[in-house]
Amino acid sequence: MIKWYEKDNENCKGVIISSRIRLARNLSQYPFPSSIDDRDAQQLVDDVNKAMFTANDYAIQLFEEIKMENVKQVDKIAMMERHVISPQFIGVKKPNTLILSHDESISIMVNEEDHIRIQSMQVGMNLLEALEHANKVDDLLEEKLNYAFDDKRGYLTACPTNLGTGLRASYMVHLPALETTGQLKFLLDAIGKFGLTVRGIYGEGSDAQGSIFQISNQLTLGINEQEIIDNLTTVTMQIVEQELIVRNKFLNERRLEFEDAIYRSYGILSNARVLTSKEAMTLLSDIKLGFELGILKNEEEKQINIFDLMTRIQPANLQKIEMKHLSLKERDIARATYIREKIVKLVK
Amino acid sequence: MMCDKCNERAATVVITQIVGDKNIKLYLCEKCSSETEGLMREDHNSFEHFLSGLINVKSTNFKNDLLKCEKCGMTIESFRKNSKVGCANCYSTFNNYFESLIKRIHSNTEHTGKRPSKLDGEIKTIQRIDTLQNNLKKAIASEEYELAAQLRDEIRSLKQGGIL
Ligand SMILES: [Zn+2]
Ligand SMILES: [Zn+2]
Repeated sequence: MIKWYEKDNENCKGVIISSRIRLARNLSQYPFPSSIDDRDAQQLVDDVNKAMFTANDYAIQLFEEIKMENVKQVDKIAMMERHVISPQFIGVKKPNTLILSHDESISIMVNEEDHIRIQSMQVGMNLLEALEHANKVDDLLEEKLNYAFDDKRGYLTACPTNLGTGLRASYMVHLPALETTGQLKFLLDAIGKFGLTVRGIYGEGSDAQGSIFQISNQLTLGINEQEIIDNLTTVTMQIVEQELIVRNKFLNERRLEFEDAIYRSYGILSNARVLTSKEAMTLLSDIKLGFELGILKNEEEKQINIFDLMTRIQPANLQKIEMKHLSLKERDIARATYIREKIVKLVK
Repeated sequence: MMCDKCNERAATVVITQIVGDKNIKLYLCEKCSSETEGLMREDHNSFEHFLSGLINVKSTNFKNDLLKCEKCGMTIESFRKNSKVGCANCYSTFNNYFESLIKRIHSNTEHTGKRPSKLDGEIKTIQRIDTLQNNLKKAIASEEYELAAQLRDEIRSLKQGGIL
């Protein structure tokens, strides 16, 4: 089945890579994951599975349970690199499970920081659809489970920062032009004033590789779902607009240098024998920009999915492609080979 | 744009530190931001330090320190350490304490978003029963006993409907 991140992204000229919704939910009868004992945690896993899969054609057709205890560490990391699970979820020791849609766009982490974390991803700018999908799962679970909910404080969560809606909405954006010109700093400043935050591509502990950033809401209480999304979208669209303005400026005022930079990146990617993940991300970011501005072209004259390629060359996913364990050095070689083979087919 | 602290890596995080009434902003790389204590971070361990900072300041204002959550055993002391709430019941046990903390985090204390529709179902049922009970009184007052019996049965079945 085609995964959500393999789909074409035509909107916003590729600046908005993806939209993500996360809902935090807990059941009233068990202590939260930091205090839950193994017996209750197992019961929680069973409860959620039962609520999800009993007499429910929608869930049975679209989802499967992935028992994380049977998943190898490298596969867990690969899932994290594909944003299917959070980095924290890899480290959970107590009974836990993952319920995942076949296209990997919707995942339900059970016993992460909260009992239930529903995550819904969409390609491009599509938060409303992502929310719709998350809500569908939420409604389904809510019907059969007793959520910890308080009229005043909303959905009760393990961390007070998620109270209220329990909703974290994010856009993943590609901002090479703003980053290069140093304008990002001002935008980040403005973002704080709107109750939003910016992080790197893999959130916690990760650098901003390939000029990719995640913008998300910080406040969850006293503001409803629609307002959170509207606020985030309004601010993000401003940033997208700025990014496009700077890109056009590059094209109009320094076209030759700009083309030169992109062709040099293409030159390295199509010839290099060793590539670190960080270097590859930077160069692929240039290629992505090159396609979006029409400097690079491919046979089919359509957008190519560089983001998908960026995901596949991450350490764990690369080892999955090669189907064996690779040392750091071997990975850098395998990465260079993989990109070289892909990139010559992509560019005309 | 480079990180304010190490000046080596690109800044990806804007961090707000509350000092008195002032918000101080820092631009940090992920590495430095994760090493910086007492600062506000979303979905992040160092956020816990930020929370702990608030907790340390505010907890003296409440006589909650000796209190323990009946359900999970959490104390303010333990919350101060790991910044994780033990269970749903903790929020009511330490109501005043969280009220103030929540206000500082969200600058708001009233939820306005989605509610489990099951709850609305319960409320609708309660409202329906109220209405029926009023009608029942009227029916009895006006000696319409057949109607009264009907209403009584309807109320009974609603009450037995499981949710109440
Ligand atoms: Zn730094
Ligand atoms: Zn408790």
